[in-house]
Amino acid sequence: MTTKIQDDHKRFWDVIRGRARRELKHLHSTGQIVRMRPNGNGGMIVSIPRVETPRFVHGDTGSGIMRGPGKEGDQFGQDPQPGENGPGNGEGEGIMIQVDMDYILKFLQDELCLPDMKPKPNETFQEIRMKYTNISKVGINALRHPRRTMKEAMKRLAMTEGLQNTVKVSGCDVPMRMITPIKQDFRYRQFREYRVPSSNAVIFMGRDCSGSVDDWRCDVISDMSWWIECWVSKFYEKLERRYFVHDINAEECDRQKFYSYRHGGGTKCSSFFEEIAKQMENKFPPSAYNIYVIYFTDGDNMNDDFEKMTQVVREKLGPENVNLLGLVQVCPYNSKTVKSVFDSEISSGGLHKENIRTYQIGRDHQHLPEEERNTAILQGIKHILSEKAPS
Amino acid sequence: MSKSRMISGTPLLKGDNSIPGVKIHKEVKAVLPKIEAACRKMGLDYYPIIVEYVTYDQMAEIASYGGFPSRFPHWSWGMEYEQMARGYEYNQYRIGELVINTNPCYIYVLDSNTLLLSVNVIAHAIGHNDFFKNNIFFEKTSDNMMNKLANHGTRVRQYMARWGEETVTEFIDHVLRIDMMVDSASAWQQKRARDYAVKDKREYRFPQRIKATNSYMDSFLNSPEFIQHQQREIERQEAAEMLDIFAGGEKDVFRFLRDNAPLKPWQQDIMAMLYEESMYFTPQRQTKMINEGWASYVDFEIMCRQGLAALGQKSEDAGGWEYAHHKMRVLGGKYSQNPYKLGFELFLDIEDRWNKGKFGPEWENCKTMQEKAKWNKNLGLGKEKCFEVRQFNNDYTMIQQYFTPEFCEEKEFFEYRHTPSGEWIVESRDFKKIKKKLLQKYLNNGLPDIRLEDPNHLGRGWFLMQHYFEDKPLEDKQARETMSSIYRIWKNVVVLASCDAHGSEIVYVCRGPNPDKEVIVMPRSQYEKNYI
Repeated sequence: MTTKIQDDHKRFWDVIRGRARRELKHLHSTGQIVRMRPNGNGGMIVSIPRVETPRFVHGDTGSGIMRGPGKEGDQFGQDPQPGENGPGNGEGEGIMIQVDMDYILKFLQDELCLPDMKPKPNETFQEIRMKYTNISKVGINALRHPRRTMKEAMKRLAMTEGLQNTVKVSGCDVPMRMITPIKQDFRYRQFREYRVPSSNAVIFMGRDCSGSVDDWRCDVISDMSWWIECWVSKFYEKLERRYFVHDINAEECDRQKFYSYRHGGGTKCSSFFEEIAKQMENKFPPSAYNIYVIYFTDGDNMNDDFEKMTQVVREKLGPENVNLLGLVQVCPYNSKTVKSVFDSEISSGGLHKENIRTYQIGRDHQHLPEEERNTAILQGIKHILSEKAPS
Repeated sequence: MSKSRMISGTPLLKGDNSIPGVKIHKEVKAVLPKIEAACRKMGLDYYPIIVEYVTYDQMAEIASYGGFPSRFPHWSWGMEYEQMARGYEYNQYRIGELVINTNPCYIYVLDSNTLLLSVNVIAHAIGHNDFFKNNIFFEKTSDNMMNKLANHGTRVRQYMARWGEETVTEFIDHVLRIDMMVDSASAWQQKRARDYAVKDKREYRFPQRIKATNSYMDSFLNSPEFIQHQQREIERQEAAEMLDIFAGGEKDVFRFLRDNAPLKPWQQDIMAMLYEESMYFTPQRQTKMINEGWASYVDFEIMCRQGLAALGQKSEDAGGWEYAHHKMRVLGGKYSQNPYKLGFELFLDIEDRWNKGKFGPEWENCKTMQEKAKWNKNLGLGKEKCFEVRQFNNDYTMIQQYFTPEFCEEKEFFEYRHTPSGEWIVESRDFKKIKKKLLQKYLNNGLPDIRLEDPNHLGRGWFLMQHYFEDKPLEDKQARETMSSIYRIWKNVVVLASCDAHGSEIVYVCRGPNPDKEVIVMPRSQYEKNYI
């Protein structure tokens, strides 16, 4: 049942999208709702569009009445300074992503995909899609099939020779034939289930949790992996997800720990890739699974570990085994970073370029301002999970 | 019932919710008579109630329609709905209860409320209900508004079908921008139909005499000077009418435009409907603080002092904690100054003062602090006084009368200043300054006082308005937009005299419908040079 408010709600969205009352365009603004994330690790701001009705109102004079302790002349508050209200500020408060949910959902749906999905021999599950192609004798009025209903009524009348009967209709002099469907004649649209075979796939999410990854980087990593996970769980329901954290040693962990774990010791990137290689031997053989690896780092690694890392990736994580290896690097400290090593190896032919994509958020040792950071996160997701490898 | 104003034809509904289709929780239904008994014991006098349980989206729908099930079609309701429904989904807002000024009085309660919250919000809503019935500012509001608003919806839909949705919505948008420019006092004026005929009949006016209770008082009340003064006023008014001169200082700009702007019949009808709606909601804008304060005071009285927090709970002492938590969230902490908190504390203060006899010349002449602190005459007039206050006051008068230096000091009010460098500074703790600022906030419902001075300015049919400046300048962008809307309704130049932030006189001149290009702001001297 449509309520009155649904009509008005639609009118409002028409105004927002510029289909009606186009002159109000310059009065559009956004309100905000802050929502905490389910795991308590930060929050996000959902923007709600608004159109303010202008009226004669008082402007801000910068003074008013408040309550509280303090002597005359005391300062009791301070405006947030630009740059200071960045992410990670405040204890455990977390960070905010400011997004328009509609835009995000559309973006996730249209532009992202798990690239290079191959059919694998032992397809263990099927996805079920519904289409309204069936006809049923019971149903709700909204799904009534008028043409089929009238057809049934005519059939019934033809069989009982009722088609010849004429009825006097008010407003018409000549008696007319009349077809009135009775309860048994009604037909309704009904859905039919289609089973769509789908390939087995697993996604490994790994992150560096060593001491060099500070709060700000942790937040960026949490945010980005959270969005990726949102998207995966929405559009690839049956995909397996595995989480890893590593410092010197890598370990598999649950989702909670992946998002909340911070500050370990040193860094050995190779440990993560070795752990994945181990998993691929035991649980997820590449012959049966499409394998996706997404790895977050701050670019720091032990100097003697780079060699081992490239070796593991070259031997165990080649394109025949792994469909995609995405590397996200957040604000590196040094010039020699995980990404630079990967890039130089790819260009010199030491690593395969088909299945490796790298992306960096932030240029140097510096934190980004809020706006840039969020766009960088979205750009990064787009870069790593777009259909074709970006040139 | 002292005032029996019922909808003609419908039977008076009892508050037992025996009406089919009205949903109410089983547990709450059982305790409802007890709540009502408690309210009557307290002395509340209210319209019969109908409690209805609604889901959050229904609640958002009703709330976005201003508490009514049906309004005229407009996108702004959709906007409010978006805000409220999303806000609930993201755990940001929660409207626990909603009550509207009708007879019988509908109380909408959110169905996810716990039993204690339900009892609390029903008590709170009965407080509002009592306020609607007894406060003098609500005296002239129609209590059959639900039907009226639904009929307005039908009429607007008809116009939309005839003239196009976009055209009608555009006009409504422009009218909604001036919907607060009404005079709340005009609800008490005699309603008069507009006289379209040529003025050929003379109306005889007489000085009005004040009614005296005793005959010997008459000569004092209606003294010859008083009668003469009235006679002069009448002569002046008649002379003005004969010459067709505008008497000036019209606060009800909306009504003037409704009656006099060159509009098509359907536009006039829409103006009339919106004017009526605006007049209906005006007392609610006037009494926001005292209304909420009174309802909070009532639920405090019933839940705490009469102990209904334990109603339906497992043990006698259960529920107190939950009630305290809820109350804390509503009132907003120690230093909050939201309308609930301010009103609630004012009522508690009044009750305390009148219980202890802290009023009258004796109290005011007492200068020693020690004596004042120990003051207690055990009069016990507190509750009676609170009932009186809720009957005869609005926000402004309540603060004017009952915001005392002691209250101000005890509740730690101060005046703040926001410097351009972004610091918030305690400016002053001077009682007079604080009270002035606070009164300014509630003066004219917190809106700038703008009056129509001359609808035929300079003999050119210009619409001259004056902003009665109270140290607060107008918000420039919105003022321009509103000017252009008035231009569209009046279809001639609109002039607004105001002051800027430094107090120097400026004049807005709107010469066309485009708010950016055709609204010009200039100093008064330049305006006089250019146009006069």
